[in-house]
Amino acid sequence: METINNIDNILELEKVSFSFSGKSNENILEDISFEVKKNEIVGLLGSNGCGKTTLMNLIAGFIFPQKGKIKKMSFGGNNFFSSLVFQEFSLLEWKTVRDNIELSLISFDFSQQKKNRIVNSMLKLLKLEDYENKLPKQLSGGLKQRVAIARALAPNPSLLLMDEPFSALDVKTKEVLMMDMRKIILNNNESEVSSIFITHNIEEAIFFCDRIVLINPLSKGVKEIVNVNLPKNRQLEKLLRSSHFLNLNKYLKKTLKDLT
Amino acid sequence: MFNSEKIWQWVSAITIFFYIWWIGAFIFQNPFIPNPFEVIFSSVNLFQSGEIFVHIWGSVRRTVFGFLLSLLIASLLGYVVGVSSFLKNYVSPIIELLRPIPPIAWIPMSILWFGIGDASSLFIIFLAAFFPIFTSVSFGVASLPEVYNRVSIDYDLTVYQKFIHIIFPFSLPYLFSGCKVSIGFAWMAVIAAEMIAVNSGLGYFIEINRVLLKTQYVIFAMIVIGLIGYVMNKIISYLEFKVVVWKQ
Repeated sequence: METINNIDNILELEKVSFSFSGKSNENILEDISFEVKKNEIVGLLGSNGCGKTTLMNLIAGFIFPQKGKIKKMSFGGNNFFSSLVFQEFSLLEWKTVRDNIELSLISFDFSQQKKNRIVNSMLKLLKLEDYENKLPKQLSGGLKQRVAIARALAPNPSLLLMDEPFSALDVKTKEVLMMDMRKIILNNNESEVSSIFITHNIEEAIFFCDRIVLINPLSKGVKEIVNVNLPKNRQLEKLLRSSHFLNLNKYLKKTLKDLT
Repeated sequence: MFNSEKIWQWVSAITIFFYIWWIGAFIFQNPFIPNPFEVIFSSVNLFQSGEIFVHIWGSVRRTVFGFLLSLLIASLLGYVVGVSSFLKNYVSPIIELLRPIPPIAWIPMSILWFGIGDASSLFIIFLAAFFPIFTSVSFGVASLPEVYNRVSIDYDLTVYQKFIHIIFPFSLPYLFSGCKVSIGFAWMAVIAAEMIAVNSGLGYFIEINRVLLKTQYVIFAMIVIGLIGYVMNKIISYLEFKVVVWKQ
């Protein structure tokens, strides 16, 4: 693993380029550079097909860049470990909520007692205690995604990668879950979790993220990194009426429109 | 599982069937078309002597054994081929060539290879049951959604852990579908094999009574075959209902 330049960062991407064919003239991503700080939520915003999910697969280590470096840092004595929340419901439909969460702990050399303790704390954190013995088919979309998030958080990852996790949810469920998720990620006393959040929805990105990386579908690189500059604890209803939110929303919309 | 309406439908359908059969036998007045009452009364002798049970047991034993052998080998091969596209490319052409050959076409060769007896009939049953299970399992495993592969990579699952927690449970509905088709094929194959390759079982019973012109026994044995085939299918459906709970 490459050494990271800044100790405040958990992840650094340096001029990362990727193409599925391996040919540089067919790059999907070109010279992508940004960093993720400890305990920070970074949004990747761009139109559909601009390479956001490919970038996340690169960070997750499913695929590897042809050019550039992805530097990952560990802290608190733990090795770097990322965990994913997928766009589609990825729960194993034959396992109960409890067993689905425990799946992410299988490869760890923990005692069953410790696993149970972690799963119980996740059930509590994500307000899933009443559903622990239910099968995914018995849950609503919002609850399914809560289970997926609990499963991703259970191994205490350094970086939580979220690929449009709210896209399949209705507006109300999405709002509640987004607010809960921000609290969980940023107010987690047991560990410092950072997160990369992929979306094509500007409002989601502003509400959920501390910084937003705008992907340019034309140059396949980073157009701009925008600081959201909103308080850590956010109330969606208040936020939607604030002039800062509206101005930022307008600016991002215009920038994205210019890119397409 | 059964409600009164369904039972009523069954009873009505069977009664109508027997009625049509009885009218047919009455019209044709042919000694080779016994009426339903002759068939039912003649069966009393078979039950009293216990002869029919010997043949039923012979056929069921062969079918179950051949089916289980096929289940073991076909599912194992199905999992290996489903996981490995490399192996699939080599195994598929062989399977596609062998699959269209009816199991009955193998009977002459099986007699030459294994002689008259259980071994040759087991070989036929094995072949009949093999392809539906193999095809279902390999297709099921190959259709594992990509997101489950990524889940297994993300959580660092070993090959064994991935098989136990993801591939095997995911493939169970496919395995049961294959088994339901397979048990029917195996049951049909055992009857055909017993007519030629063995000296016991319902197939043999039908053949010997055909020669003796005891058509009422032949038809009674056919009814028993239908009933047992139905029960076998129901047993597998029941197991599927109990095991694949997430699909109910």
